[in-house]
Amino acid sequence: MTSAADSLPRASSGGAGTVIRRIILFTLLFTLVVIAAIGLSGLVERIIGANEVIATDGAGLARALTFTLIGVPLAAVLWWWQRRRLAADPSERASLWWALYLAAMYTVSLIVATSSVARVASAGIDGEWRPGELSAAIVWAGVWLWHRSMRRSTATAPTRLADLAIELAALYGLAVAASGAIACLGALISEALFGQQVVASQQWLLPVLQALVWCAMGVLVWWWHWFREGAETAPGVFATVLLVIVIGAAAATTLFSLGTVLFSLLRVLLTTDSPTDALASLDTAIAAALIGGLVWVYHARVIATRSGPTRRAGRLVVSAIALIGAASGFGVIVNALLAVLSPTLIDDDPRTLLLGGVSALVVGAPAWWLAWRPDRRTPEDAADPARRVYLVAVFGASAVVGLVTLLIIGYFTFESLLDGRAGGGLIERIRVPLGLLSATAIVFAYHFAVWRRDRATAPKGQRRAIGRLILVTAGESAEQVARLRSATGAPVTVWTAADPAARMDEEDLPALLESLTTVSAPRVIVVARPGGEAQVVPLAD
Amino acid sequence: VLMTEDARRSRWPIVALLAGIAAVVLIALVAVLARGPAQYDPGTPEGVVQRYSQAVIDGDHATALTYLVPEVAESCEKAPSGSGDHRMTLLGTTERDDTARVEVLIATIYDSGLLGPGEFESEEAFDLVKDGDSWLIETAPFQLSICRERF
Repeated sequence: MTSAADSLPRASSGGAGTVIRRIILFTLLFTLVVIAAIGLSGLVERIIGANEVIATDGAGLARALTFTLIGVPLAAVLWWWQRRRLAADPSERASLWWALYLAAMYTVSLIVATSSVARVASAGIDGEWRPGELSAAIVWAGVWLWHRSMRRSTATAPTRLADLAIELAALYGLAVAASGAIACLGALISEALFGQQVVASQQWLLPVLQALVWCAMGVLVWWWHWFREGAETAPGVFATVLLVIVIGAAAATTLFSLGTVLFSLLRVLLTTDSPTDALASLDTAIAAALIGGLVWVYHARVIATRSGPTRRAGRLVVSAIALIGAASGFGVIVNALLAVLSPTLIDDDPRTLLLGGVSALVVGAPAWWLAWRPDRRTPEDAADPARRVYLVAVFGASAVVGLVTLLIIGYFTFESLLDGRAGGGLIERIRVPLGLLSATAIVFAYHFAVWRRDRATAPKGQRRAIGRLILVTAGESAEQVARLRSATGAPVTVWTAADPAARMDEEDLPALLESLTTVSAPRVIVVARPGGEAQVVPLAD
Repeated sequence: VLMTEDARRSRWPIVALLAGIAAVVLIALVAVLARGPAQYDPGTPEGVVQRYSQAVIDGDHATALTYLVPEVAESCEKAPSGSGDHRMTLLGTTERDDTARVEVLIATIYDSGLLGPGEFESEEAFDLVKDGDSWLIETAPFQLSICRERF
């Protein structure tokens, strides 16, 4: 996990018993809070929606009463007890399960509350009144506020993975905002492009406004957590991983939509397909390309301010996605070429297939070139561990695709041979896997050449002499951990010393780094001493 | 700019691969865009199946009926026809003295996507009988039949 997390005080971390107790308690608390919220929202619904009731059922009220009267007191008692532990014992606040519970409940309550509000608003635009959704929104907003105060109170705030909740919430907000914006823009573009439907059961403005409500809700949630709660600058590995995932998803959406836009236009220009059919997905594709591009550009600017490895990871993700698009496009082109060779009696337009492949290749290949930059090579690039992981991942994916396509091709070849009916049917059946296989072969060949060249040009002596470093020290050490890690290249684990004087100062670090250069062992313990000088203990295998 | 021997050697894989990709794309473009649909001889079973199927797909009921055997054509009760796109590939033809069987692979295409269509493939057969010099269709697969099944 992160160095910051590892360096936190973890006094009586307890044994398996403590862990099991926490798992059971927090699972129970989660369940009780959910039950209480369902019961309460059932009661609130009966209060605010009382005028609307035409017929009542005893069962619904009985359930709401049971859930409320059993869930609320039990949840309160459990929380009262747990809160005392959290306030008294710092190790409780540092526990992984407390952090996970808080992040899960915070995110779930936020999702239920905001989506209920959005549903009430969309139904309201349509002239409907939904007391059930509104009561859920009120109750879950309360649960959210309660957990927000837990996260911020000094007595209960988790000290480990402290930003997990707001990172997840910002991700949820971004996803809702982007999909709402795509739906809204898509409906607008569709209305602008194809105006008249033959039969329409509702006004075109309605879905636009409803999508706008969702979009606004998502933007609000994202803005609040990203800027106000500080998810933008949250430290830690998880925040970085989320950022890279968002960039990958935005790039995939944008590139796929651009390809679809190009495909639709080419189909109208070059095939005999009816324009309505060809342009059917154009509206959503334009909207998704615009919104995806916006999200991509924004996060590319965010990642540009981060550290070198993070920037390289972002570039590699984009390069992987563009590579998948370009390779699939090439596979489809080969597939279309083979379709020409098989003896067809009647045909849909083979140009449709070809143009799809061409569009994917035309969009994917330049994006891949810009992200991967095959023309620019430096020795540092060649030695980048993320790049090696990328290459190995490409080999793995190629192997899987190659194996599956070979199996399919082999099966149909043997079937055709044993049937004694070689020829047209065979090509028709294997053209899809054969196209994929040829694209995979090219991808594999290129990356194999890159891998060999990287091995030749990477600076020598990159093998780490130290496999793992265990630092025993007191006090704040995140800066020291970062320097130790960058100097040795080894992951650093921090064990906090009980003696508060056993710590290193900044001026002791150069001497320690100097003494570490001569050490070679799978694991090395560094013990900070009260005097300042640290003791280095290499361990045997 | 002087290119070192090493740089030149390290560049050839990507140049070769790019050239190969460009060649395949060009060949595919030429082949697909230039090709007219292959027409089979109307005197053969394949030719009859091709013309009948094209007429069915075009919705030309009257022309399609002329390729059916008279017993079927006369009592034909028109069946509702689907409007899906079809692609039909010849698997093989078995000709006997006065009957023939044309085996085909019918792909029903329901969605044209960027990375290939969504389609459903099935192996079907047409049965034909000889009528003088020409062939007539006795049974057709359900995707391409124009007459309601009678039980």
